[in-house]
Amino acid sequence: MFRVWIGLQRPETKLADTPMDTNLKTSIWQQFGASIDYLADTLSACPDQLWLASLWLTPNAKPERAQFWYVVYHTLFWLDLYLTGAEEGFLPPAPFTLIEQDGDDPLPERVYTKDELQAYLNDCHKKCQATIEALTDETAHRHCRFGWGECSFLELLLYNMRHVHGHASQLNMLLGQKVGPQPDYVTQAKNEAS
Amino acid sequence: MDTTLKTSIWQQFGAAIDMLNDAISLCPDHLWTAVLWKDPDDVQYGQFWFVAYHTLFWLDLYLTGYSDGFAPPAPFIRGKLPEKPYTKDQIRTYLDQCRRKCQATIEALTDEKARQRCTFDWVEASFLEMQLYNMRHVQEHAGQLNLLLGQHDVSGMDWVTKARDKAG
Repeated sequence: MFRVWIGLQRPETKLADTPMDTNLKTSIWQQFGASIDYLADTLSACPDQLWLASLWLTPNAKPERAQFWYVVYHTLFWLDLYLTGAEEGFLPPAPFTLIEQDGDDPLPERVYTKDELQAYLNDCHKKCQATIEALTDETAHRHCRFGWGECSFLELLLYNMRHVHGHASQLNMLLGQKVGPQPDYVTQAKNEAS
Repeated sequence: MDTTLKTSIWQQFGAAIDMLNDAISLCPDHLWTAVLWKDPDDVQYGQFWFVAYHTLFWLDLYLTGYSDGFAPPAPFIRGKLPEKPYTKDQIRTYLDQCRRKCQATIEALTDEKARQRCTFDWVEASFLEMQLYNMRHVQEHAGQLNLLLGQHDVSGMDWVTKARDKAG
């Protein structure tokens, strides 16, 4: 899956030319992929009657923000954007819009379907694996800026993984509360997206 | 080991621990034994205090890197429920210890240590990968504990972007 680095680094090698440590790439993909798989399993397990169910109370926000389908969409939107590394120029695939970045707090014109979100998840899964596989020391050190702070692209990958996993676990817990046994914790990335 | 890697891991691992800390701190007394989900073996396994303890136990163990011979610090006991729920003060003290251990472990990480194999019944991975696994596990339960508070009209929880300078 990943190139094996067997050569010794030459003293004159520039940062941009330096192959990334294989253990690091494998570690990040195995765990990041597991979080995406966990989200995929949870999304698949959601019965139709819980698609609009609220995860938490929303006294100061639009109730849709806490609904199962929207939390999945929010997670995938930012997974996709953070893999790109910058807000500028980012555009999610149709039928999705830039709604998450709009400060006026709008909502999509309609509720997205499970099929639409599963297709988006599969695209993000492939993009994530390809991004980690192509990681170099130069891209890992690339500086990224967002409204919440600044970090390296490497740190952004871990931030992104945490964000995916945090919401996957909440969605999973809702299913456990409403319909009983939920999909199992995923320990490492599956070979293929489900 | 590359400084950017160490910084990245600590900033995000520390943020996950800080989110767990926030959930524990914000939990009102009447929700300390609230049930997140129904556990078929014992209702206490699904209660707020136990989920927090479970998260810290495994955070501590995975930072150690192996299971054989591992024991949590007193008053915690391994493998069975205590006679009464651990208190918030006990859990917060354990969290502070784990947070310091986590930061020190990452600071001391070498390439050799990062490649060391860790074997558990459910996963086999390098020590580096186990720490990402560990971070995910902390985030998992921190998110769920925060969700339970949000379901009970508790406010004040927020996403933590990076590790705070000090434990909260």
